[in-house]
Amino acid sequence: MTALEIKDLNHYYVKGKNVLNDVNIELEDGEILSILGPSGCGKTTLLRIIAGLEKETSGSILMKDQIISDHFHTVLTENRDVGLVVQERALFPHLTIINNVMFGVSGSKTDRHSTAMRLLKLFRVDRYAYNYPNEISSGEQQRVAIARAMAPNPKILLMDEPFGTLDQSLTNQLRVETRKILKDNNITAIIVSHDFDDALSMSDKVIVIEDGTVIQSGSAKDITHISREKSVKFSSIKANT
Amino acid sequence: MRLSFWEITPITLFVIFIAPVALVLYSLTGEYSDNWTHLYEYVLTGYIINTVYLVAGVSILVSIIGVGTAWLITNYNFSGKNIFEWALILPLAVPPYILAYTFTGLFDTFGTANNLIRDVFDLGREFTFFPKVRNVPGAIIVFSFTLYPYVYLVSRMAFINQSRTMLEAGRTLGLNKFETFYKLGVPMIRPAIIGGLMLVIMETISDFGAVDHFAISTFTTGIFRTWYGMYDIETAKQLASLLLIFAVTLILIERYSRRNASYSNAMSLYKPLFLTKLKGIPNTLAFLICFTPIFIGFLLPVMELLYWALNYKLDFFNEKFITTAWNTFYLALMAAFLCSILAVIINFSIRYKSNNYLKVMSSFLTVGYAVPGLILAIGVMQMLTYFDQSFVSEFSNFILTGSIMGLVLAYVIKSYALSSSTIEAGYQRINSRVDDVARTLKTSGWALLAQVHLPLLKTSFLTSMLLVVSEVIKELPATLILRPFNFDTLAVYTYIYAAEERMYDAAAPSIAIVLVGLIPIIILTRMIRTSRPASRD
Repeated sequence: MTALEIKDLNHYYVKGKNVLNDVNIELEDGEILSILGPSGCGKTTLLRIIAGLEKETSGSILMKDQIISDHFHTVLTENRDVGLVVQERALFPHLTIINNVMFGVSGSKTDRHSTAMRLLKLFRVDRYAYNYPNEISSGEQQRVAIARAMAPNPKILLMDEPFGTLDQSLTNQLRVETRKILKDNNITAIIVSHDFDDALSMSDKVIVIEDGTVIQSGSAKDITHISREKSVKFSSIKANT
Repeated sequence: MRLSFWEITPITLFVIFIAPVALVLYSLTGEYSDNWTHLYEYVLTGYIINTVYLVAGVSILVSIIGVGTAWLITNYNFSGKNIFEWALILPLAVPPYILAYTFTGLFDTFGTANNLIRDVFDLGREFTFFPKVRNVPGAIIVFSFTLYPYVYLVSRMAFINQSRTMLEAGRTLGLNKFETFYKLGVPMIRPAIIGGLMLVIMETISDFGAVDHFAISTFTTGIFRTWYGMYDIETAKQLASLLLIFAVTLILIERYSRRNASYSNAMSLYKPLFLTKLKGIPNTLAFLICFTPIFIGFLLPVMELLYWALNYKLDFFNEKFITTAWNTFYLALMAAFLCSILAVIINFSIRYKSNNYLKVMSSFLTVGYAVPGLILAIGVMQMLTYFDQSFVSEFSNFILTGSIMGLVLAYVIKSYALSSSTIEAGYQRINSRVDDVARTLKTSGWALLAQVHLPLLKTSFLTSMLLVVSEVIKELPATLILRPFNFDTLAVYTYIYAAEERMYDAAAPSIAIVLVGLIPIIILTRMIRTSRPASRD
């Protein structure tokens, strides 16, 4: 079944200066898609539009064959069933780790607690359940952030530069862990990154955006054949950040 | 288009906040009575001259004290510097009218200071050492020594942010230490000084208690007399409009000057200042320069109040004091809670709805702070009378006019800016991505506010409450006009006793006002200490 379909999506803040041009994406259940591109290319805007945090100028978005946004309809973010992980992690600092993960889960307190604990165990941070976010490392915080986004069982998990602020060895470890958990749980996910390695090591599909336009799309294997020139360009961006 | 609660609330508040001011200004389009002609021909010039003298004198004195002490504290190490750093703000706890009352108690012909001189030097009763203070120069001293901390605070902040390299460049170009101060240091922080000075001027032109006690004719005393002496509210409103136009002009000047406010601290490379250690005469001079304003603006009035209290059996716990203190505190708490809640709702609306119209509207909500309390009181009174006449009079007597509601409304309009800026600063510390994530976790609107924002804004909310409480407790002119019959607050209690020259009886409420006024000063001191760029290294 198609988890997400984006049709002819355009977006601008100032008329005549499009930040996204005719974007078309199709994503099957359980697939992981990476959206690659340099800073300012429009990839985060696209993710925010999918989450419903911004309204596209034109085009339509369907989730599980239901229209969630087009010219006539807009399903609010809180009703879209999406999970969001951001680079800053944005854990609620006044809540313990377990309460952060329980935050978006519905049901009885016991059920919410067991769901949260299961995820914390999955990400190997269950021993910090009753600590506050400022008491754990940034890598552990990122694990909690992903667990929290997965806890309400969203239709799609959206991740915006999820490993952007972590060191290389931790990033490598988290990529492997996260992909395994997503695949084991058959979770559809979109990862926005400017890092080729994120895309290649985690995704089934990759699209490359430049200046708001999709310039390349295909399987992760296909994209490895991307022109050497592009690769150098992206590497230099990565090195500069 | 369907508007949500988050859009309707700011719009409604905008109407309520602007209406009293608009009602006062509307009087300019009405008829001008004989009283106006009388005022125009005989007293208006006097009001203007006295106000201009006051404003000019206070501006000069406040700039010298505020900027001078800030420069010394920021650049030099001298005896008592660590105490002066925060103690220089203490006079903010003393409202000008309380300093005026203690000044007359001290320096009148048979005041404490003159009596002391006569006793010590065994002089006759006809000898008067200290000059009379019930005049414009006396008022200039009163305002300057209670209000200079506004200029001290902004100048200190701006000087702290000045980089050492910039001042060292001046020294290498041949400037001596004093020239570095007035040719480089001061011009670079000019927008900050103007900002602080505008606050001082606003407080000066809107004061009623001090000028009334010194029997100086200014706009505020004129408005009061026109209303309560001539019973002519229309002319009082017309006079108030003139004062309001003057106040608005000042705000515009202040906003214009702040357009360039960033040039003083736009340094990309900040290097903290080296403090020069002073010894001998310079050390003593620096000590005296910083001690004098604290002595006149805080120690002297507090000592005089304590002297009255101890010598004339201060009765802190008589029934009158307890009732008045209770009235004051519950009014202040009510206004503080409302202000803080409204500030949270408005700032949340702006953030949640990302709407530029709401942002503009919200900036208008803060203008109440610049409107003199007397004008606000007249406007609120008019608005409530209109409501009573239009909607209530058919069913019962006036219920809004002369009720606590008017008083609370005036306090909320007047103090909203304090709450709003505090809550806004609190919101700036909450990453907007927290909201994004919360929304994907099915939390929006009230739930987002209650479960995520409010717990994170706890400290800001409390700070906002404290600032408003201390502001409301000091407020006098609006309270005098809007208070219900036979309902006194500490400020009114002080004013009434001082007006009857029963200064000793005014000691208890005055001490209570000063004590509560110390609360925001403690907060300010902490803010100054944590705001130094060097402290973030």
